Amino acid sequence: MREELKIVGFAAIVCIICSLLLSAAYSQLVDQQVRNVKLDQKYNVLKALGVPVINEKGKKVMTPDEVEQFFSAHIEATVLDMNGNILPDAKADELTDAQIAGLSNKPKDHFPIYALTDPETGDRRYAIHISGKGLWSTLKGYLALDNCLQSVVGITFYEHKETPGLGGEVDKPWFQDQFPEKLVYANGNYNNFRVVKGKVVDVYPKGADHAVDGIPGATMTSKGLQRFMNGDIATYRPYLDQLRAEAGCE
Amino acid sequence: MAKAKTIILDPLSDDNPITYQVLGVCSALAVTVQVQTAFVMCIALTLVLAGSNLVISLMRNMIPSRIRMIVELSVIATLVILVDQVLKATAYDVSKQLSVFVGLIITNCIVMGRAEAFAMQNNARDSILDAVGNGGGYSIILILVATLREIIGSGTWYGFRVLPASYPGNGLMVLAPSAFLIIGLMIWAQRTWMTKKFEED
Repeated sequence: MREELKIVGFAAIVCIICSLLLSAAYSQLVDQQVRNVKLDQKYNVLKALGVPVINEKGKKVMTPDEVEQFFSAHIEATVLDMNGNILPDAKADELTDAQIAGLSNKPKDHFPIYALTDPETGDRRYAIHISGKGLWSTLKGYLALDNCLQSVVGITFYEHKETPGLGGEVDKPWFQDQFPEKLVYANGNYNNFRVVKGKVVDVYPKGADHAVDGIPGATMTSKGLQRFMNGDIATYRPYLDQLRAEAGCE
Repeated sequence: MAKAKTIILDPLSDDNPITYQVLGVCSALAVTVQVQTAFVMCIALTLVLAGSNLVISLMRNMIPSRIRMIVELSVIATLVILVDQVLKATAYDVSKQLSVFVGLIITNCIVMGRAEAFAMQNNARDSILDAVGNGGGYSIILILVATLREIIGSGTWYGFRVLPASYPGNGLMVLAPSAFLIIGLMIWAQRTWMTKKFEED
């Protein structure tokens, strides 16, 4: 009996010390962590929109302060609901991760869209938030579209836990650089965007403006991206249509 | 002093955690597509290993033997989460590259194996030396495998191109099974060499 008590006591002490340590560390660090995540999202919005925040070696060339400044000066954010209607009271800056990317038991219900206006031509670019399941994890990122909301300007991911070297290649330039100029909308219709298995030329021998090469060895991640990218574009569709009409595009 | 030397040097070759003890193979498959990620994983693993060996070794006379493994696991998990949390707050970009690997460290058999096989019986100083030795042995194999896989698979090393851009890349080397082949060949080579040495002695 003494022996059992000693075991239970020891286990209890170890558990209490471990959990105290972890909760102390978390409560000390959580503010800084949230700040880092928000800042990283802003870096990625700007990167998707084609603002030179990161050089070709992947190093950040704008300081955090510069990013904050640029963001508040040039970026206009709107938040939509699940039906693509504007939520006038929602502030893009204050959205939580669960609101924009959902939880396992609750779908996402806030859809931010960021607009950047070219000061000379008046042309605008838009970045929408995209997120969904890959193989292991929820991928979260931004897809930027041009003035007429037809062709892709850029794509970025700020969070995922896919296998490095396989699904994790979604972060790599070779993959992301395929997206600019591809069409999500053509001839009055939304394209069913494809992330093909293998190379685009194997599937479409003449080439295709609505398809990119998939990631070798990461079919589930590629398929997941294809599915949630089309799904998210569909959710934003009413607002995208409205913007397209306002811009006077066909 | 001679003992300290053996503790550090043995795991580098003769008693290597991957090729001789056959521990930590899972992560050796997962993170060796590129040298860079393998390198970061080596550093993180060695740090966590040193921390867990130290803590377990200090507690070794208090831990009831029937729950020793779950205690070891709690200590390792706590250390890994702490490292992850601190990284997220202070070096967010590094932590983004590392996030998956940090999680993998908890399940890395080397950490648990060394806690169980060494730190439970030895003092704190030797346990840290053992961690350095085993971390080093793990690192040597990981970097070797990653070097082969990245050069043959993608024609680059640490992100730098070493084979001409026309090199098409070998798809098998990018996939996890190729690490099995390479590690298998390494184990074969080492066993052959060790048997020879043993017979000569």
